[in-house]
Amino acid sequence: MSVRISCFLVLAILGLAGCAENAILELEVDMPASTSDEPQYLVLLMRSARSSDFETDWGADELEGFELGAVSREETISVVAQPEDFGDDLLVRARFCSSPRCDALGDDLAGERRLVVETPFYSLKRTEATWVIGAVEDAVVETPDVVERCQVRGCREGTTAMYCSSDGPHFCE
Amino acid sequence: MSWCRALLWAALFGAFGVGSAQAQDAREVVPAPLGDPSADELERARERFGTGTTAAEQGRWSDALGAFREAYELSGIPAALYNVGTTYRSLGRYVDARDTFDQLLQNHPELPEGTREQASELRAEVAARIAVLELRGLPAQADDIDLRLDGRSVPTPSARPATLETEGGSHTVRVTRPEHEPFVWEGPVAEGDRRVIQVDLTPRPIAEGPAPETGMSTAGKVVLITVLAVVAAGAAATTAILLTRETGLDPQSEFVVEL
Repeated sequence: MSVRISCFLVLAILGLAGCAENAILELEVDMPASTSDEPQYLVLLMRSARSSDFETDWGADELEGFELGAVSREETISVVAQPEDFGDDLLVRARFCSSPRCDALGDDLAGERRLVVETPFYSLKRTEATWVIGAVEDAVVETPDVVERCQVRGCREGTTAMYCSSDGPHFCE
Repeated sequence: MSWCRALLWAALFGAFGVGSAQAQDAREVVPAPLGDPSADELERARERFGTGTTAAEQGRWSDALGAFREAYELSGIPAALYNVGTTYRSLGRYVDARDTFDQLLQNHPELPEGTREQASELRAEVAARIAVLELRGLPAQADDIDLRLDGRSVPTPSARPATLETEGGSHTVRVTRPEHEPFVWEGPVAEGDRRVIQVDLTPRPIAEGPAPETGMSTAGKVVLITVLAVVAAGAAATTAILLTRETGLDPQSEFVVEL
């Protein structure tokens, strides 16, 4: 009996201690130059395809918009996913707004580009992808850009290399 | 893979040191497909690759090796060959690992630079672990010599002194030649070390008939001892596996989005 209790306690302690099991996509976004004399912001919103699609309203994100300048720029955003999002696509909206929160008058009609990143999240793996937004959009471009799973880079650590999960989604690497 | 998967597998295989002798020239360890693979072959290769990955994650290296080899034979995709090399390395078969990385580096110029560097580093690491048995005293003309390492026949090198590459551990070298007494050497060689063996082939007296073949029993004993040693080392290492906690990854960017 004491052995059983000991085993239970060990398991319980391990269970309570838990293991943070996230996954991160380092998404590099190449942003276009501003096309207006007024301030222009690129506001990025991200959702897992598990819980969202482009047909629904996503609300707002915590991340403030990036002010567009006279020349194009690159920024990298760390997208942190939890286990429930592993294996799902990432959906991204890039809205061209006149305020950092995309909440100014008229921002509800802001132009928009969309992106689908195929299966970028793997347990405790850091992956990378690049999205080039060539121009500021005045309207919503409904057809999303796609970063195919083979264009998602990374997953070169572990007991073997060049894989992200055991079902071989990164076989193409 | 489970949430607490940070088992230290490396300790389990560190003691495996017995392998076969290999030719020293670069060789095709895993044959590539002759033409472009069909969709069906690619699909089978993908399945085998996944099987190999799962096996590797669970430390079933022999299973992983077969699966990765098959994936490469079907597809010719360098990722599979890379994993063949890392699997050989995990098995302690450093000669095969080095030759696999050589094959990868030589036959796949399309490798991304980062992967090429990684493969080169691994290649250098395993090459430094290869043990060498240097055989001195072999005759220059050795067409009639039968050379065996750990009971397995190996080609007699043409260079003198002849060298055999292997892994660290205990080995047996047996040299036989018609009309000569067989030469048998048994001993250890350290990982990455070079051991000089003076081969003494004594001519047999003409009046005597062929000596009875007794070497196989010795070789059999060595194989048995080797197997037992490997099993013991594996068992000992298994008890040393440590559980560690994985912590989550930290974002690299100052801009962070939590899904």
